[in-house]
Amino acid sequence: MIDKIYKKLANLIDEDKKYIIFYDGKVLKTNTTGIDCKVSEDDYFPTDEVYTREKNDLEKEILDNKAFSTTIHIYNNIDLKLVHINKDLKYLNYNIVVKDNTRVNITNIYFDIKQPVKVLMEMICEVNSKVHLNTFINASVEVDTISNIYCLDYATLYLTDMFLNQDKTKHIANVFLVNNDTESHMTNVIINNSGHEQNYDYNIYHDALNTKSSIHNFGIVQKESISVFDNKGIIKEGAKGSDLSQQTKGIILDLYSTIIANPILEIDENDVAANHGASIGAIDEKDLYYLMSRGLTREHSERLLIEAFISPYFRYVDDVKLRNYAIREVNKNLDN
Amino acid sequence: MELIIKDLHAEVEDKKILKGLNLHLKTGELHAIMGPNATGKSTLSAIIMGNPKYKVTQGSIMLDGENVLEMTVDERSRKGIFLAMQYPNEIAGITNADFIKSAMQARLKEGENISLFKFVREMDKAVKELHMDPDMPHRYVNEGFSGGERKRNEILQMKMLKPHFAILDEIDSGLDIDALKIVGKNINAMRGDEFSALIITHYQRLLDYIDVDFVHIMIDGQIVKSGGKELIAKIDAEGYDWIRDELGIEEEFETSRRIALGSCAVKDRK
Repeated sequence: MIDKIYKKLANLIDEDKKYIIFYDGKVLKTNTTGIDCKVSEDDYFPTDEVYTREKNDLEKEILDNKAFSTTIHIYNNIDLKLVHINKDLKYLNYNIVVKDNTRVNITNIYFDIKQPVKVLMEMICEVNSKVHLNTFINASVEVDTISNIYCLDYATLYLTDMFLNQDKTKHIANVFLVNNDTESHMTNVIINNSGHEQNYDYNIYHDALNTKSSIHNFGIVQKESISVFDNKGIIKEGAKGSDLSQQTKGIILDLYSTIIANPILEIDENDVAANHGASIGAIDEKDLYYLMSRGLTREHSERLLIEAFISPYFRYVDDVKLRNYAIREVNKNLDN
Repeated sequence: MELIIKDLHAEVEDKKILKGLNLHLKTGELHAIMGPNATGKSTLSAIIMGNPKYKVTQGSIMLDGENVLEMTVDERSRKGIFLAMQYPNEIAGITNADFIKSAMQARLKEGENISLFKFVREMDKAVKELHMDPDMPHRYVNEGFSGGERKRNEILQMKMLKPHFAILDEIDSGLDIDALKIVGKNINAMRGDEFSALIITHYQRLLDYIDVDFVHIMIDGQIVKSGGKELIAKIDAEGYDWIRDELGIEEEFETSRRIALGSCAVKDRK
């Protein structure tokens, strides 16, 4: 079975780069040595020690029903690819701890998801770590995912998501800037042609001094689909010098689809900056005219403009295999 | 090749702009159209290219016997019509090189492919000839470009796509004198049996650097006078009033209505 699955992943995995393949939440194959990172089964994950908050219903449901939890401990600078294959699990819970002063690039791929699943991922970015977590999901069934990420002193987080799901989806990403001088920058591309409503909540909590965050959402909808972006930005009392911005851009490719952007800002401190903006509509006819005036057909021009629209995601994808895979999947998705 | 425009009438939002325009371009010739503001020069260029904003109500545009008005915008381009736009769009996310390569590829038959090596060499040469930043091919189309860079970028595209009929709509606006010389030199260099340009401008200064064969004066949606380069100097010295006087054209003014903000009544001037 391992060989068969590994063969299927040939387009994504390089043997000379670090990877861990999870099958129903358990490690199926890895080439990590245990020095740079180690995987353990832990029932307890110490988020309560770094941050106190009320868990939401979905989190409680996952934590109550999960069969086990897995934790990936990252000790040194590493480029790591995580591939999750899920066949039978209904609840998946895994955690990541990035140790102090490490530079980490994690590519997180949910591959071939055929069983509806609810996923809770929690990550702690320890002191002065710099983390890029790039998640790619292309599921053909309903998925609910929650990512809770806690940034400790001086940690910097880059979070990029691409969702191409073909069914109902609920995704919540909560980033907690727990300590002073932490940063989080999110770039999310969501293509929804599922014919269903999909909900994406990107929430950022500024709890400390001089914290910075940005959220850039890029949504494309077609085939009577609805994408809802709820972006909550919270600057708590005492978080002076915080800087928060949110932006949602959307392209609607037919008359019957909808993108809804709900920016919610809760500011409980002075001496901060916070802004939000949204621009949603059809492909700009002037842009189309410009491209067509150089000889590109309307279809080709539209496709180029869509590629241009989602290009901010690819700016963060250094991995050639993932880049090619993602482009292929996006094209397949839009052609469907 | 010939581009023949006959009795062209066009409007935008029910406003008549072109009112029976005639023009005959042949490859091998460079033409200039001059005229005061709001006489329809840019409308003419947009209509030749097929901008859907404008509606042709009468007349024809024929390219070697083929009806241009029945062609889509992209077909016109692939047939050899090119418009260097006055306000080119900014397309973030597509690099100049990818865009131009796609446009060149669109001109090839199915199964044919552009040689990457040849493309890069040609692009680098064109960039150098236009004195552009060597990084320009890798920047997104017009994103963050100055007015002058945008205009040069239009000329870069023209050089790469090698059209038969290039319409340059006020390509001189936003260009300083050195850039004007460079652009002029590059347009002159394209002169040949397979190339014609229609240069739309208000001013003589661009035409100091481009050796045009014909000059047309456009007023109120029509070409009212055609001639050689001698017209340029006369317009520069005397403006357009002498043409109006000579041809008995009355200047049209748009009627406007006064608006008073914050008052309860307006008394129109009699």
